[in-house]
Amino acid sequence: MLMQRRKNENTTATIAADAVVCEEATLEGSITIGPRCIVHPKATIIAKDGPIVIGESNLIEEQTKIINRNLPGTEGNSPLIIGDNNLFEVGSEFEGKFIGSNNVLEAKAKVGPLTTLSNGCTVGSSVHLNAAERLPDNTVICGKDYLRQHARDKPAHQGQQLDFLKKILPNYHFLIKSKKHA
Amino acid sequence: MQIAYQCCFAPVSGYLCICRSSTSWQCPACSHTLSTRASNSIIPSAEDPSKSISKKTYYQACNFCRWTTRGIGMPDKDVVSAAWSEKNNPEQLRIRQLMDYYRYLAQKETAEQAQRKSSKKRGYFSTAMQLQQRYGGPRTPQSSKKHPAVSTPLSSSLAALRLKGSFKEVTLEPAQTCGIDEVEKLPDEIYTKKVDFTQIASIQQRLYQPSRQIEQVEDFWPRKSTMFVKRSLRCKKCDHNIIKPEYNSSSIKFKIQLVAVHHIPEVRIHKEGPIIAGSKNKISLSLINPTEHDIHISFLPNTEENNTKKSNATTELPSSEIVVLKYDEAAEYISTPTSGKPEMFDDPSLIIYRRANKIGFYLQCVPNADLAPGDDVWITFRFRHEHYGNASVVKLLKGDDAASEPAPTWLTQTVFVNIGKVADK
Ligand SMILES: [Zn+2]
Ligand SMILES: [Zn+2]
Repeated sequence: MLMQRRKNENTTATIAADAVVCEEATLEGSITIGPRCIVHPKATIIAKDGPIVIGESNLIEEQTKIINRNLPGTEGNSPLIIGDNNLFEVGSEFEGKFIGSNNVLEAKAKVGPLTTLSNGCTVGSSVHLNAAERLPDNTVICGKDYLRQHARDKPAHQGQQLDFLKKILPNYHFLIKSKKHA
Repeated sequence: MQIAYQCCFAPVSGYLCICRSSTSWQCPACSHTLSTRASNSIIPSAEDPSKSISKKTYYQACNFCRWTTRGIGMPDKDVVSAAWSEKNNPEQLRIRQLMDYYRYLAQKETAEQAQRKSSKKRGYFSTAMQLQQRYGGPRTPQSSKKHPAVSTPLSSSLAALRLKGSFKEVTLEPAQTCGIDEVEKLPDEIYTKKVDFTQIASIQQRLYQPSRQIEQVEDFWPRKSTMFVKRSLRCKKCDHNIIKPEYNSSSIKFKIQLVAVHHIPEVRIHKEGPIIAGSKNKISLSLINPTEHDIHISFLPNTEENNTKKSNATTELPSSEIVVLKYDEAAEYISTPTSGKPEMFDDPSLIIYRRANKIGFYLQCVPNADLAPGDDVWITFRFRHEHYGNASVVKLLKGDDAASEPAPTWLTQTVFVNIGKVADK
């Protein structure tokens, strides 16, 4: 167990007091994690081309990769902003600059740097997006044919699950202590 | 058409029909099964309008694509088991007329035949009885209650027969046709207007409900689960059942004893290295013994290569026998070998390593000199090993003396291994 404890030393993470970030998660670069967020073990958040700011009540599950990556051919340091109540399911990947609120990236979904999500969007399992577009609110893309639909409501809120994880995760994992703002 | 959608356990020979209950519905967008979801809504109380009570309502939603019955404005239901209804087929009237007309023709034909036979004993009434037997009418009291519309025309005509002694004539208007000039022209903007794919049904979705052929996503309506059928499959050689039709995937019995991976040693590539065409290469492979017996493996050259695969290298096989220890479930948890067996002496030029039921070994191969860099190199060989079947398991179950080992049968396996690509010079 002790062997697995690896300090996230090359990060300057600012973690809100009531967020739960497991120590086995990989954090690199300047990252801000908002209140009531849950970051599971083995999730990877890398602020490569600029800082990452994560809003409230986001659930970031195992094997997720969130990387602040510049558009191909561009340079500079711009932040990746993630809104509130987003769900990153197991193995999902996001590389880009903006996510709104209430979005769901289902298991193994992949969103590349060209695509941005507005609000209430669902990217289905194994759907890989990287077209230069901003998905309109409540867009659902799923299935092997990338069936695109417009949902009437945003996906259900993860409140109960967040509360449950907040209780259960500290029993089995070391957490990264939240740091005070400098 | 209603009958086509009806869920039933109709016997289809050789098949097993499986259908979900009539409360099962399918998503019109992606054809997944819809699941019923509950939601709490606050409504003003009936007794005291100033107070509000929470009320549970139910709607159907697709877990896969997140389509819901709420999205199309279908009202929620108050009880879980409430009946969801299908939208009427717009052509239902026409279909019914056609059915009636068909029945009329059939009746007429049989009546004429009966008349031609002209047995005076038979009156119209017996003909009518025959008809009833043949063309439906109330078979069981239940079905007549369920589908009064289906049984009415015949029973009413039958009643008419009883009274008048002849049946009612049915006339049918021919289908409406229209000339190609009468078809409405496409609007001009059809080529210029931006298409919103989220609002238009795909062809697949349209044909999925053939009776309505919805064009707009907002007109989607849940579809009743269709009957689906499973077939049993038998081995063409020995007639054993390979796939049995089961109602539920969890009730399929896993035939552990019959899976080859539990009987035949597995050959794997242990380590990859650069392969040079035309010269001697040392290849390291490993063997895994999945059985509960120590096995002795001897290698043979593969002389009769079949047409489908060919090796493009000459292989120099180990000449001595290799012993692979049995699979021991406990071995995984014991770090040092503590089995009572004496340490085996292995020739280090042949055996790379030995761990529990795994062994790594070398063999030499010379890929054909004419292979270009990047070409796949295939080697082939055969190996012989003993096989004990499940006789020992049977013995164990019977409580016989386990010490007496059953006699093995010897099996020979043919192996083709793609050892990699020829390296660049
Ligand atoms: Zn669906
Ligand atoms: Zn067979």
